[in-house]
Amino acid sequence: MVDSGLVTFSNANGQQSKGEYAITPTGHDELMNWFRMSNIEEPHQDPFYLKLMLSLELDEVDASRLIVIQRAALYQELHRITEQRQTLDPQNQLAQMLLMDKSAMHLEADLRWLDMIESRLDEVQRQPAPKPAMRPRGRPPSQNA
Amino acid sequence: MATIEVKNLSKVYGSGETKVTALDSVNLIIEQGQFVAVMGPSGCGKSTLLHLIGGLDRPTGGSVFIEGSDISKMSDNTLTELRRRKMGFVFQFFNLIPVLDAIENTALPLILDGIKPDIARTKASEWLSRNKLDGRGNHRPDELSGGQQQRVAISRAMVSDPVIILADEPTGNLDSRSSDEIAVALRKIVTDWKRTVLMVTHDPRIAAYADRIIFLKDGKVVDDTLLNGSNGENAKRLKEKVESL
Repeated sequence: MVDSGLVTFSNANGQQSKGEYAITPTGHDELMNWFRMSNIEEPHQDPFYLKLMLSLELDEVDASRLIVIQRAALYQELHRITEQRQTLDPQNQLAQMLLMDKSAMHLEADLRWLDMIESRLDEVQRQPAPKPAMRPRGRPPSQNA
Repeated sequence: MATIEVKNLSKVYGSGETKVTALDSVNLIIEQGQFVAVMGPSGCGKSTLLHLIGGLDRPTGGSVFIEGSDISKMSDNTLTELRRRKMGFVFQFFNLIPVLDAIENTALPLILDGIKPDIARTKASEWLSRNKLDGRGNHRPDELSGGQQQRVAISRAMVSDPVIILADEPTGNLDSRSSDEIAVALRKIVTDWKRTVLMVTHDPRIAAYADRIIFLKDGKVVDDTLLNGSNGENAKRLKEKVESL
């Protein structure tokens, strides 16, 4: 970040570990941009989905078994989160509760999604396997270049 | 024939020193049209019991019979089929699909099952109306209150005509008024439509709507009580019982 001009570093007493970082005006602009940016998670990076699609290509792996295993695991995780959430105090620990709500909502949505896959598994099995989209690999080119 | 019969049901996780007995030789008979709440402290096995009855997990010992069929012996595919035909699940969050209206959300399980859309829509409208959502069929989830969304979710669970509704902390995240609405809707499913509801809850006030409360502790049934008082009396009795266990 020092190299990018976002912060400056000073160590008045010469000790490397005791120095202080200060944000620069450029760094501050960047920080405000970061706050303004929305956050969308990449929906295509789902390890279970990948496993399931690969299983459809292999005779020795049963796709419906994968769904059964995944469902049992999601339910257990949902219970773990629910029980953990119940130990929190809504007067003081609302922030933690909101994060757990997110987890619970996503787990429940994943469970519904599994039901959906399960009811259409025969159909998807009859179709050609999806081909991954080609994407550029390696490090993105540097901003300063 | 009982709707649910559980015989010597056990579930052990892990082995050796890390062995955890989540459920320890549980026996239960639940008749059709009973509203049963399962309560107990954290880690008592209540969720495990719900999972095993719902066919989501396999027991390490004993059996679960759903309308006389032993589901612990069924193949994955047969069990999946039974789960889809006979069981409805109600969660804490509604997870309705935002771009679909109430009728479409409710009809979705039927449409996915290959039922013709117009038949599915008719059945969906019937269930919405039974859950007091007349006139809301064309509203999308963002146009409905929390309680109304959960009643759409209950309609969705009922639309495939399940015998058993499994509700896992269905009121975990709602304010107390909406929680009561859900409990009333579940009560109605039992009273008016003679379905069996099995609900895990930590809330004595919500459990008070049930006909019967099963208390679990350390994987065993420690109390099995039929409720027959008013909601207020039931809730008070349950609260005392929860505190004593």
